[in-house]
Amino acid sequence: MEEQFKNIDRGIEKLVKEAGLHKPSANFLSDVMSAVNKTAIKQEYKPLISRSTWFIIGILFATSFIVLYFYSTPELSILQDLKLFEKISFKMPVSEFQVPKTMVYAIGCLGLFLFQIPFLKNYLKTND
Amino acid sequence: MSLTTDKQLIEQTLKGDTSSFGILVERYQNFVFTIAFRIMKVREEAEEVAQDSFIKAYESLNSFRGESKFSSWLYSIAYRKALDALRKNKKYKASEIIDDITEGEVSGIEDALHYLEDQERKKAIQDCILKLSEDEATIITLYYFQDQSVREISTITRLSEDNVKVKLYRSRKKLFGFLKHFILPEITNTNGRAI
Repeated sequence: MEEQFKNIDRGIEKLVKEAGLHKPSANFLSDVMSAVNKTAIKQEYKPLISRSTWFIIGILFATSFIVLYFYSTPELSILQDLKLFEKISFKMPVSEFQVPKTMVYAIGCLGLFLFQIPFLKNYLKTND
Repeated sequence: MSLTTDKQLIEQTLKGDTSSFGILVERYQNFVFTIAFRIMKVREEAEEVAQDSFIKAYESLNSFRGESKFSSWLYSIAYRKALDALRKNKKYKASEIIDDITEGEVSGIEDALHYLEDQERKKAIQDCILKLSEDEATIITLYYFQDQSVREISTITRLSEDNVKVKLYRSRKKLFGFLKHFILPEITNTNGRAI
């Protein structure tokens, strides 16, 4: 009985090995790889601005906020200190329009931030 | 490159090198496709299942702990994917009852196969394996072709070891029954046994 079982077992093994494996189509590997590349493993999120940089930015922002809030006087102005308006003299068409200096700095910073966007986008694209 | 172990290729893949995963796909594509095909019985559907299995393996590679062999882990994904696809298509095959086989019949079948052309013989055996139910075809393939142990097959199929043994015994009988019917129809016709 044992011998018969072994013979059947050996017979089946021989036949199954002879049957071999089925092969997928020739472009199977490339199909899998293109799908794999599309669903590339999500890499760990790495922020563009690191935690320490955010900390420095935060401190700078808080300092400048405090300085501007407590020490700003109508006379205090970096532009005035540089005597920029004395060197460049032109008549502004909207010279009557008064804008607080703090707002000018805020608009300047916002402009700088917006100006960076295309560069940041380009940087992310090249590092993708 | 072919000497690179699965473990090394997995590590490279996890570091973002998708070409290493490509080597793994190349290494196992025939086997994964064979499992899928023997369950699905349709080439196009099997190819889709095999492709989905590799994508699933790639996405879950982080969760592969290396406790079992990568091949076993991959086969279990392919097996479950194929069964899920079958369930969706509602194409479960009804199991067929096969009569007992004797040692004499085994050698008779082997002799008869000997007279067939290589390709014809191969095709006959493949067709007979395809006639087995999905679990039986998988178990027979894993056990005899891939030399997986009953324990490994039990992990892959999530069937108990005893269940695997029973199915292995039954599928062996069935496979010989199909071969007998295919190659030696005169035996079954003369003695009146139905397959």
